[in-house]
Amino acid sequence: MSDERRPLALVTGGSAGIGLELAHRFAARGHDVIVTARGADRLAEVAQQHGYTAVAADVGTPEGRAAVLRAVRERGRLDVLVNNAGTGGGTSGVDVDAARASAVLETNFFAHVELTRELWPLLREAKGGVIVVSSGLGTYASAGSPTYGASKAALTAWARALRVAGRRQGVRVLAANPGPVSTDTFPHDELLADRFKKHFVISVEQCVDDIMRAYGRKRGEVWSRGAFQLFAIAQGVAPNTFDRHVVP
Amino acid sequence: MWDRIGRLRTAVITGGSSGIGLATARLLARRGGWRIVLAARDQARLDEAADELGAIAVRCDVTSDADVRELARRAVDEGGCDLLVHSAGVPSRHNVLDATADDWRSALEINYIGCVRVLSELWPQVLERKGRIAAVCSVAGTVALVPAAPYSASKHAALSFVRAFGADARRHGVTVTAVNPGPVPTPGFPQGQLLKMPGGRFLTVSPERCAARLLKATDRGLPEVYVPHFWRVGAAFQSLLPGLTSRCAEIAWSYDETAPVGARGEQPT
Repeated sequence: MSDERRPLALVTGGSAGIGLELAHRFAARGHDVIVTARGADRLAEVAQQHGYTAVAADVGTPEGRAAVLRAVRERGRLDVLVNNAGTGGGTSGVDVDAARASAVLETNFFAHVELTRELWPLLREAKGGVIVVSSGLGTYASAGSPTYGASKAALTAWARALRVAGRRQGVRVLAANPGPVSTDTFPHDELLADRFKKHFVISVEQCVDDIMRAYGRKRGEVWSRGAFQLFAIAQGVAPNTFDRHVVP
Repeated sequence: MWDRIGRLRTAVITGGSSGIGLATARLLARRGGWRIVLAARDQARLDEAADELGAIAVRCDVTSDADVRELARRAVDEGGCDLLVHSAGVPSRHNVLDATADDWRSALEINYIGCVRVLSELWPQVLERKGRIAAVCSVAGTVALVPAAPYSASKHAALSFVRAFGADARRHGVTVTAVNPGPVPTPGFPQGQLLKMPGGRFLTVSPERCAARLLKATDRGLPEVYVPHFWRVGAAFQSLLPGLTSRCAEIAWSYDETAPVGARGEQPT
């Protein structure tokens, strides 16, 4: 299975949801796939079933990242890095505190920045690509999730800057901003229960279709669905009107 | 203004020893009717500013839970916070590839987590008095800057947080204003490179003018304000045309003297 000439893809948070589906797509394109996740049991099961290499590690911790780096460096190459691991905020509106904000930032932001910085030389050598799975909430604010949105806003900003730097070095970077995707981690039951809001929820397959299409076209940023860009535009163009009347 | 007759109101200003924070404190002092609590890290500068304005000085590092809790306690002693101006922040001029783990951490810790800490610690007082909050974010919170990537990411997070926090705070009767200044030359942010550029000074705005806009927007309870107004174009441009914005950032970066080897298109060694 692991052949020196086969391209390698690393997917963090790859045991379920968007990460797992992206792993399938890259495997179908002839990539060897390394998947990482926190839950060892589920990961091992998935990896065995599909023939992926599993690294059970929390990329939000330095030890976890070290384990992932070791596994990649053993292969000596990396063509695609999917920064997908993420966690929900657990905060809502004015009910926030610094400790919870730091914890979210650790997994949703620092993990990706530090992993990517370590792996950048390999990606540059392979003229590879980075897919950053951020969130639509990184491009417009929602009162329901201040700390999650903030961590994703930082992630999107970093991905946009990295894209500019990457273009000069032959590494393509895609910032993906999905809307509410129904996964095991984020089932979005309350949205699905609403008569109107249920139409906003999309499936994992739809979301990954959008991401892969944008990646194939070497786009810099993609909203899934595309219509969610309208929220970002509304807040960008008319922030006060948006904040007063629209904020989801 | 939301006047209440016969009571001195209390304003808490973080980052109050220089720059936009100090300019805001001066304006409030001139308006009268305010008891001002200045918070900052640099004790010497803080004492100087407090002496000048007859304000109360509280040494406070926004990365420290204990310091911010102490600030909140002092604010209660002074009658409770009616107006919170959060302007503490630091620059972080490192490009996206060269920034070390510590560069990212310190920028995010101070500019974003610091904002969360100050707003959440002082929130109960502000809520009780149905006060107002102004948080200084930045135009860098709407457009990603490649040569100052950690700063930009931290301000994106802060702006996103303030917007979300403010949307909920408004339901409780407290207005939160996100202030997005363009480049403002201050002791913390000298803007040396920009001021050296031909015409660069036309892009900057003085801290006094920024403070005036901040207070005016806070009085009116606006959710968001750009100083000067034209920087709104940045946010609109970024959201409407992300691809073109990215190309423009690339062109701008190729003129940046701090860009690393290989970033300008030549072969990396």
